[in-house]
Amino acid sequence: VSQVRHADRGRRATRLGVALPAAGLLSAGLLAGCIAPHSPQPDASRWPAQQRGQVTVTILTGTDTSDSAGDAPIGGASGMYQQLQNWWNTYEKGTGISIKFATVSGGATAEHSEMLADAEAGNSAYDIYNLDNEWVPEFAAADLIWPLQGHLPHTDTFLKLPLQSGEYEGQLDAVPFTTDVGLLYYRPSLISASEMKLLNSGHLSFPRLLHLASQVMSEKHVPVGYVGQFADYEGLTVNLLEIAHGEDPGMFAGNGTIADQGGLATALSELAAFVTPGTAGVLPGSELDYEEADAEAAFAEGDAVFMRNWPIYYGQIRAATVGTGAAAAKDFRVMPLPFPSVLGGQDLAISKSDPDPAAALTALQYLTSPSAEQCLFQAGGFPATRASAYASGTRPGGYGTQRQPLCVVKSPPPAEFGQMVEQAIAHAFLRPRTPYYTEFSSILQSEVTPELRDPTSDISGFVATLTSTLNNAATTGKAPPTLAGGASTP
Amino acid sequence: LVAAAAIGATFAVGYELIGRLFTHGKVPGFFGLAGVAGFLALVMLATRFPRIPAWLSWLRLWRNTMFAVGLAALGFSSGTTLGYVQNLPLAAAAAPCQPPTELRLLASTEIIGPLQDAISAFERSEPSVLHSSCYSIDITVYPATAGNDHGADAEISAGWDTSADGPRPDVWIPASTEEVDQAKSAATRGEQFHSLGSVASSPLVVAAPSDVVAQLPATVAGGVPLGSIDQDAANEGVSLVLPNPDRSEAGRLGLADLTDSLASTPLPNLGGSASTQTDGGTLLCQAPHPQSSAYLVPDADVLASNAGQLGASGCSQSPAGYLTPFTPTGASLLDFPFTAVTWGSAPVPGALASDEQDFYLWLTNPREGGAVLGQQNLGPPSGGRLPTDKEVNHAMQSFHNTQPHADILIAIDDSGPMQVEPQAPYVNQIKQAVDGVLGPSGQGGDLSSRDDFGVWEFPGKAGEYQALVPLAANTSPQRGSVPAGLGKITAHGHSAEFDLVAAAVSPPAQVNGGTPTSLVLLTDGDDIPADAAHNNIGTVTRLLKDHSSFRVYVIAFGSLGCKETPTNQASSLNALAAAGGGTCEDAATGAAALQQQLATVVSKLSTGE
Repeated sequence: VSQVRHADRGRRATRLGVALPAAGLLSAGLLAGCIAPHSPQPDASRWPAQQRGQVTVTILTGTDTSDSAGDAPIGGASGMYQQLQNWWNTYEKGTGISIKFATVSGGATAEHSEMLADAEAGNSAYDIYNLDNEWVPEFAAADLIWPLQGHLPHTDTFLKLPLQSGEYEGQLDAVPFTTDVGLLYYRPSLISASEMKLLNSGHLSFPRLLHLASQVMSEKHVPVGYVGQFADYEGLTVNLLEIAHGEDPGMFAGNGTIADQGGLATALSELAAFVTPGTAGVLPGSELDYEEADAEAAFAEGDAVFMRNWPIYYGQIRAATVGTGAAAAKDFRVMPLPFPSVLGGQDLAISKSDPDPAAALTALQYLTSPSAEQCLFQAGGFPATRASAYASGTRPGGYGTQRQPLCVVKSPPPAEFGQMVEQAIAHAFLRPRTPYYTEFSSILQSEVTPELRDPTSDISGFVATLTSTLNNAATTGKAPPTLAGGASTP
Repeated sequence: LVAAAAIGATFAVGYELIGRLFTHGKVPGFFGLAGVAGFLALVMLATRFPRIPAWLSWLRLWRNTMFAVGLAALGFSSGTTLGYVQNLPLAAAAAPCQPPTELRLLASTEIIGPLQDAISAFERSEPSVLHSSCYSIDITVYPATAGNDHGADAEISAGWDTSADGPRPDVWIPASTEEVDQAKSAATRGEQFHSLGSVASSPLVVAAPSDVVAQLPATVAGGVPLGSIDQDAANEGVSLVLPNPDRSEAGRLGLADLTDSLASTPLPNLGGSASTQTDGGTLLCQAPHPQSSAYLVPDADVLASNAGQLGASGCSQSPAGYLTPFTPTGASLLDFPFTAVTWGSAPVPGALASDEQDFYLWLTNPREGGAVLGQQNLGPPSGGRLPTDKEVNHAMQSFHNTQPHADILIAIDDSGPMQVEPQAPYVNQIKQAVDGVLGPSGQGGDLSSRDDFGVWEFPGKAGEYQALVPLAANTSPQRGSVPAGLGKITAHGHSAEFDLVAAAVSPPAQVNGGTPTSLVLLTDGDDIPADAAHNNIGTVTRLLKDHSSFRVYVIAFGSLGCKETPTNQASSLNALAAAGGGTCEDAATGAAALQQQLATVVSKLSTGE
């Protein structure tokens, strides 16, 4: 379906091709015609007429993992999504639009499978998809979601990078709902002043960070240096891309291909060099089975000096009040990763099968409003996509003409935490912007995992083949004859 | 020199203008070509006028004109060709692939490991199999939630709930055709099932550890019906253990075989078969009581265990060691039917139906998918013996009649500190966790329809407790009443755990719903020695000793967790749990972890572990 967009461009170029020779400006006009289609233009696609009567906008999303629904004014909500839904359905009845979150359980792969299958089938049961931001190009290129370019006012009030995560080929296709960024968790009681100074220098590569971890391990008798996410799933892709990007910020071309394989080669070599068999070490082999929660458990148990994880775990570690977790709750801090983080998070996109996208857009504007973003961050624990959500001393307000706040936050995160998250977002980067990201990531995981598990493997020879394979997948989604992603499981 | 300059100029125009325009399509390309040709034609015509610059006068000769046209054609053609090729976007040059069709595949836990390997092989060989250089099909395979295959059967019949069960499957590969038949007869929302056929097979066998083999002489002789093996085992003090029939199709079929074979014996010798093992591989990995048990499981699991290939089940090899498989006469066979599912009246898109067919044909090809499944110890597709729905239902009913049932009371402490805890109000987490286990979409807990549950809060508004959800059978209406019950909770007062336990053990007559047999306390305890009704740790401990079958489990909140205790007394929460034959655990952090913790406790009570 990506051909649909190319055809649109062809039509625009055709109109120019007819008009300009007639005006006698052949050369200049035709050259301009070559450039014009690449410039972002307000999308003129016509939406179906808004329906009359009561409309329910259903949002298909993964499980709500928010810390809390906040408190009053609407009770009974089990999470922030439901709180936002309840508020709208209570105070905005007059609009004739109600909001309903439908969830799919089983993790990111299951969510992607359900959303993609539903969209491909042209199912109109769901009006909005809450997409992980790396899926936006796939849905946009396949024409499964309505372009939003020109339909949403004041997009400049969103943080720059989260907004870019909803764009594909210069067009806005999805609106950032939540965002996410990797943070470095550490235990201050283990870190000396000089080591802290090194950490705060802001230019610590992955191997230097692990050398520092090794130093602290031996000084303070901690069994593990660094816990991240290195199991065979999307977390491995994210962690690996962060290490590689730290080595070579220019490794990706605009079309999602690897322009320079040096960063990837260095990252893989470094990672493989630090992996040691067993359950102890700077980066023990047991970590090759770690996902986010495993890393959090190890860190909360006091077994690791550093942890790379998402901000949502800040609230969870902080809230622990019993057992060994209580000790960790009193002895941990967070800071931006010393190398750039992948920008995570989820963007809201309107299904192409939605018969009333205007109603969906109304819901989408509410869910991404400044007050909603404040609730998502301050009560829900999700990093927000608007700078205003991090402002200290402010609390979520109402929406539209309603003064009743969307949520009440009794115990917001410390102001410096919000500032730190915002700072980390500003230095983050997006995953490769290709419609075939799923294939790209799947191949990366399935090929890298055996290499990391085999200490005798020759990384340098492997990287050249891997890069070629990944580039092939990123540009065409083509299956390589000898390398391929395995079966997906949630 | 002039000729070279002319070729260069026309080459540049061809490259920069016409070539680039052709990258946007034939129409703009031809317009550009026509424009340039027209321009040149005008120049040529101009040379026919009497007054032209001297340097162009040589064009008046037709010979020279043809020479100029030739040079221009050469420059344009080469420039256009190169400009088109070099300026073609990379993706367009490589002919972009369409996004692959997403295929959601729900598979029985008995086959999911081999199936994952087969799908990896399929995706590797897609270009040659489907004669396409693109990924055409993306298959996402997943098991039933918590490995509960029988639960998935029920969910399919009820229309599928993505929030609890994950993606809605396009294809379902259950362990046996019997499941499809049950789903067809129970379908309530127009679901349609179209079985393309079996993809593999595995007969049920009795797997005996070496210590047990010697105790079963009749079994070793071979050709013995399952009932005789069971009798033989019972005589030697050996239990025949199978996966939990409430969750596993292998367990259900094994139970039906056994019941059928034991027509004159009402109580099969089943050992711990009601425990939580969800499939043959998991059962072999846990291998309860290996000195005195034989296991009724699929043949593939036994072969995998003996070959050290049980990885997908959580261990490489059964701790029971080498297992000798015996195939009883008349045993059932898992036939793994490939079943396309249509939800409601919506037709299946053509591309999806075609992809399903392609994958099925590949999977059943003995040189392709069949070979991969064969390497994982599964047999070729087969439609072997299966019991009827009626036989299975009769067996399950007999089985349930032999099982004890649980009457579980969940008691939620709604004292003030449970709500005002600044960082994470415990009551909110508890509401989520209880709803997540016992609510309409609840998961875990292993409650059967014979089990009862209820939810109380304590202290109640007017006394030591209040029934939010009266004790009643684990049915859909009962689960449906949970959210409303939880919505009534308002925090106030102090914890009254002693009064609560006393009331739970002997509910007053006005409490409807009967008497619970077990209690799960979700509380932060209290430092007050006695509650309003004068119950304290001493009186309650004595009461629990008098009701020795009553079980108490505690999940403890607050900074002290299980160590919370009244002034000058021993740890009361630990003591309460000990007196009730259970345990006290510090509450897990976060609603999701708490839900898992609660599900585990409820499961212990419902399965009698």
